[in-house]
Amino acid sequence: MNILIIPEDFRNDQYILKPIIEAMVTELGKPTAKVRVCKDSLLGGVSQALKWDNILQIIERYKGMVDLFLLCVDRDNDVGRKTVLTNIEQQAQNILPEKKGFLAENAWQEIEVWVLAGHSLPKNWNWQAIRNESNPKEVYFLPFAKECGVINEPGEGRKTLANEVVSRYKRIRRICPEDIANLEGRIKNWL
Amino acid sequence: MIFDSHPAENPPVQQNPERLAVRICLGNNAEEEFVETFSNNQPILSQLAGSVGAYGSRWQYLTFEVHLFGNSGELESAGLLHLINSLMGELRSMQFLDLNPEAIRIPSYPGQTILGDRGENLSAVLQDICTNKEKKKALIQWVDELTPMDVADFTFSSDLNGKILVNLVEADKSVVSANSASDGTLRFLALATAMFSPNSSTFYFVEELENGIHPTRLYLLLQLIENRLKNSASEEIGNKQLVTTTHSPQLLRFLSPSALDYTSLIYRLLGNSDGQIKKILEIPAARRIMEQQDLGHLQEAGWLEDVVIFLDEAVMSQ
Repeated sequence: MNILIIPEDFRNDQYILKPIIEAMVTELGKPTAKVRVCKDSLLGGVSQALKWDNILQIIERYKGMVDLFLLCVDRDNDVGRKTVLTNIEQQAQNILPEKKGFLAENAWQEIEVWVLAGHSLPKNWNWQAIRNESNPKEVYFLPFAKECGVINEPGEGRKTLANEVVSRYKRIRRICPEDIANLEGRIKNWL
Repeated sequence: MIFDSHPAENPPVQQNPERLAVRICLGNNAEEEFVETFSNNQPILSQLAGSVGAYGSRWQYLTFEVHLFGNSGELESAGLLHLINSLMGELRSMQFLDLNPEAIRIPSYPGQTILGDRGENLSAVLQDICTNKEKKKALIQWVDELTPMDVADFTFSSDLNGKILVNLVEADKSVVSANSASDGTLRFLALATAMFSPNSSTFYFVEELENGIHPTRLYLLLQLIENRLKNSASEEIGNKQLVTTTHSPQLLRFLSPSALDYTSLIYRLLGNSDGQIKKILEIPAARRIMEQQDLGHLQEAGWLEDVVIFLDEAVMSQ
């Protein structure tokens, strides 16, 4: 099975999305699935990632070889984002051949929270506050990466910190029900 | 202090072919103005800086106090000679990197901590950096991301003269010597080494940053540079700055918003012998247009060339 992840900006997101999605599909019984991240530079930010024309270009490019497209963006505390993603899913499903899938998910409130979910965090950090924070990357992730001594690594430490948590995927799923658990459930249904 | 050998008005007479007559103006309002001669085979600044002997400088005006805003934002005063020496120090710390894989592949004596302009001493400088575990790990990660190799470690081999050469060790323990590594890998490794080294310069010029780097890895190069420049101030290595040029639309596409603030277009119009420089974001409507179309595409489509010609004609026709 071939899976293509479409991030809103691959430069940093790739380090988080690839290992976590790989862990997710392994949990679903597909450990040999090939997971790749779309590195289209035109998707530089959520507004570009949510443009149907850009998504269409990517689908046209890959539909002959990809079984499942996963569009993964930040929620940014935007309650309307899920509706936008649902619309994109609908448009994609209308043009994809049968047996090919397109699912879209938004991380509460940024992708970086999925990495934090797998780590032992400072005792004075409240998990619900992290989930509700509009800028978790600046407020929590980057200070955490600095504390771990990985801020100078590729992706400001995202690569190392994400690889460290794949073995704790079930914990991530448990404490990220709105996004991780939701996405896993939908992939399971699609399979 | 302003010194000019050929000011537009009343230039000093150049009487001696071996001496350069220079007008010197001191003070914010040129309170003192006179002509001095200097040797014409050495920079004037270095002649001034090196002029202080046992009895002080023969140029008494070097004791002139100047007032300027210091780093704290407060008005400070300093002797002119002190300022000149500070400026010389800054100029000395500038480096024009012209990274050459052949130079990078030359073994170097351990203990060297300064990278040469062409990448000389890379192995020794890298070995020095690797004594810091965190920096070594970060460097390995960057090189691993850049290349199709699965780089897991650096080792260093000695020759009969005691010089060392770096090897890239892959996860399966296979070893690739610097002699066998690609030119692009070596250039990237040298630039990364310069960015991580505490003893290298604080101001770099690099032409055509994208040389030898695969287009799909250009974003890594920019990430590395921005990461190091952002974090250098908080480490012991001091504020680093880097000025670079590019012709690559792929690289332009990956510029971050903060980098775009400092990006300029350098051009020369037909019939004009002078080069000109213009900040990209000062081009009318550039910010709005780039929200819809990336800078790389605009460059490929010739928009930047069209803009400078149209704008120039607009000024002329006013």
